[in-house]
Amino acid sequence: MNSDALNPKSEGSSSTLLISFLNLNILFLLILMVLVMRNVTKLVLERKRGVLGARLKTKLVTAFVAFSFVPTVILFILAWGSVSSTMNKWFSLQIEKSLEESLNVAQIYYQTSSEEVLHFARTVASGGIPGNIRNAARQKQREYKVSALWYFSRSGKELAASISNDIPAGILTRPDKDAIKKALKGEYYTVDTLKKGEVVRGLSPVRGRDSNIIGVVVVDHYIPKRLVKRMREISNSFEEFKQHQLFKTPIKLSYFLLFAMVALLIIFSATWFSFFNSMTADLKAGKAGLEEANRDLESRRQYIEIILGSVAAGVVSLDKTGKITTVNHSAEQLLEIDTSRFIGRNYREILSQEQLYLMKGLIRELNASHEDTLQKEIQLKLKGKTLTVMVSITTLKDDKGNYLGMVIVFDDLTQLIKAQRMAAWREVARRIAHEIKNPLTPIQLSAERLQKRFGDKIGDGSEVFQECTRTIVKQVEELKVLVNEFSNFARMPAANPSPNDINEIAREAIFLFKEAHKGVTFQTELDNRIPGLNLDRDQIKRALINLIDNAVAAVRENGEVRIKTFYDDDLRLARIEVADNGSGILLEDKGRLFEPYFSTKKGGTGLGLVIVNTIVSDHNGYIRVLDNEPKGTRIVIELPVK
Amino acid sequence: MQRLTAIILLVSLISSPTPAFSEQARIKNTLITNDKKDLTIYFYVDGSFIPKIEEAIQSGIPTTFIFRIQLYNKTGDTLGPQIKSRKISHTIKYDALRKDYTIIASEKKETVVTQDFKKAKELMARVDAFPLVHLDNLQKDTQYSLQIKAELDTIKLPPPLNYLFFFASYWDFETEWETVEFTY
Repeated sequence: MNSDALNPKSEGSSSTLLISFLNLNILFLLILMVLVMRNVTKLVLERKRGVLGARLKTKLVTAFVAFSFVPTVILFILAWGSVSSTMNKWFSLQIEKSLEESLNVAQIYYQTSSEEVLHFARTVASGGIPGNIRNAARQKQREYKVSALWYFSRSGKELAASISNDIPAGILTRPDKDAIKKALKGEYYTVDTLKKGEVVRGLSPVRGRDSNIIGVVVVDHYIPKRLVKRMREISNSFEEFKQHQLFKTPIKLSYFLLFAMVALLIIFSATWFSFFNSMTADLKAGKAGLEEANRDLESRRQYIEIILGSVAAGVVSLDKTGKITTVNHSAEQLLEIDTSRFIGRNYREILSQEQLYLMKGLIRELNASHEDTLQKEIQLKLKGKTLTVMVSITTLKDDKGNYLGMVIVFDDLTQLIKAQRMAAWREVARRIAHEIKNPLTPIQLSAERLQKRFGDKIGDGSEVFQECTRTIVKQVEELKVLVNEFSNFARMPAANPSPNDINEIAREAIFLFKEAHKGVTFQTELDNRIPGLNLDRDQIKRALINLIDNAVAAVRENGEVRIKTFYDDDLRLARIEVADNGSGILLEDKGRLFEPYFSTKKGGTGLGLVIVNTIVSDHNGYIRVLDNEPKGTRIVIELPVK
Repeated sequence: MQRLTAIILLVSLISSPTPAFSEQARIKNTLITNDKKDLTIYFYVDGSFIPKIEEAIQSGIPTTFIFRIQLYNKTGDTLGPQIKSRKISHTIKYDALRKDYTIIASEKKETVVTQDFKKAKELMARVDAFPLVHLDNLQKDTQYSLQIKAELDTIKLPPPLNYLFFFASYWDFETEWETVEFTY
């Protein structure tokens, strides 16, 4: 017998694996079941609450379950029926009977062999120990056709032995002393396994005449290996059959569980998949909605950007931390800034000390007002210019009143105020001209009549009288000049342009001053490339005369006045510059230079530059006041070339 | 949470089946004695051969009984240090061709072959004159506690049935610890 088969075995790893697999399967099934149950409950609740899409989801889930349930159940029944019927056939009575009969044959062979060897041993032993024991052993061995026959003495010593010639040498082994000793107590048989085959051995004690045991007869029946192998196969088949039969119910149960588990897995997976599918559909719908909302948001953003870009007012928005988030095109132009450098930066880092002070003041004022919006007109100094700006600051808040930031709207009122002032001053000039001019002539005529009639008649005081009347007449003349200027300003005629050479007009204007102001150096730098321009010759000449007059006054008869013309081919502009090296203009005065009656010149009417500005504007041109290098003022007129 | 508890309970019930016949099998006729050298013990497992185990043996499946024997010092009501712990096994295998049972008792180091199933069962269930501990290891007038337990070892099934251990494990038996106290 194989001793390995009898060794107690520790728990097999295969069994552990099977248990783990089964438990894992069950666990997975339970998890799936819980998930499905949870989703079913959720679906039922959604249906009760009337959630949108719940009905569609129910239909989808039902369809999936129905489509998977029916074929799975059919497959399960078929598979289980097939396995069950096959197993019943395996363990059928006919097979058991035939296997048992086969085993019986083998068992009978062993039984018969053992009975025979025992019978022969007993028969031989009954004859006692013969005289010629060797011949007797050979004779009996041949007579009974046994494989071997031995005579042993009581002490276990071999007396004679005869082994059949059919048995290969060295196969049969002599019985050991223990076996002989056991046989002295009574006959018995053994079946021993040899290297090549088995031997059925019968042992019987030999009694002497006085019934005392004097020896042992051993008779062997050798079973060849091939025969043993065949019989062992029959035995193994029967054992295997019995073992399988023993486990018939567990095997069937295991198959049943396996199929049931697979079927349940399919059904639950399909159900879960249907939920997953509905979820995917929900997600898809959500994503589409989100994309639609994004598109809508983007188009709104673009729309707002276009609006912001096209409004004349400058718009700057800040977030709650003070970072600049939006600067529209108008704000960019008004403030003369490069937006890309300012977006995302805090206004506190960008503004100058003075501007920051102004800004903080506005914010303080807004907070103090407890209103959401503050409007205020301010003077904004930017790169040498002073702008009059209407600032509107609005705080942004969400639905819950949380502060989100602010929007600052700048409205440049500089030109508007200038125009308003100009209109007001024209009205003033017209009235002054009207109210003063009318009595001036009677005053002058009256003074002249007084002089003519009483000039000679007054004795000692006639010189005083003459002087006074002359003064009245002279002052009235001066007043008339002043009133005429007022009148000219108030009733500035519309420009009447015709093709003219600007350089020629410039030369004529300079000529008027060259002779009168010998101490002043006049330098001209005229660009001959300038094409003919559509100009009102008289008005432009008047404008240049005004500018040169101012320049001459600034250098006080001892300096340099430079007149330069230049043609900008790219911009198609004719540029006329009148520069002096006088004392220059203060920054705060620059903004007011073109206002009527504002003059830095002693005795000036304050109308010269206003008239120049009006003429240039009427010619669609632009006038700028700049500092001259190294000192003085430079006034630049730019006229378009058509 | 309740659902989770139910799952864990169910899984643990499936994964660790309780031996079905543990209440029937028990250690009987324990006898403690000594020869010149050793403390020897005798005992018998009753109720171990349930019909399913007998059937398994008859179908040629090798079956093993494991006996665990432990000897403790005892002080009052509490167990003291363990003096000896031994594990012995009895294995039986039926040969359908020869119609005999081969029994191997690990403590005897000999193989007994018999055609008598009753005798084979007796040999499997009985432990006779097992020398547990050398007498030199024991002290006179000292109280000791002997504990014995028997259980069916994993039944070694031929493939592919070895994968069905999961079900076969329901036939296991395991006795309670049999405790015998004595004073040497």
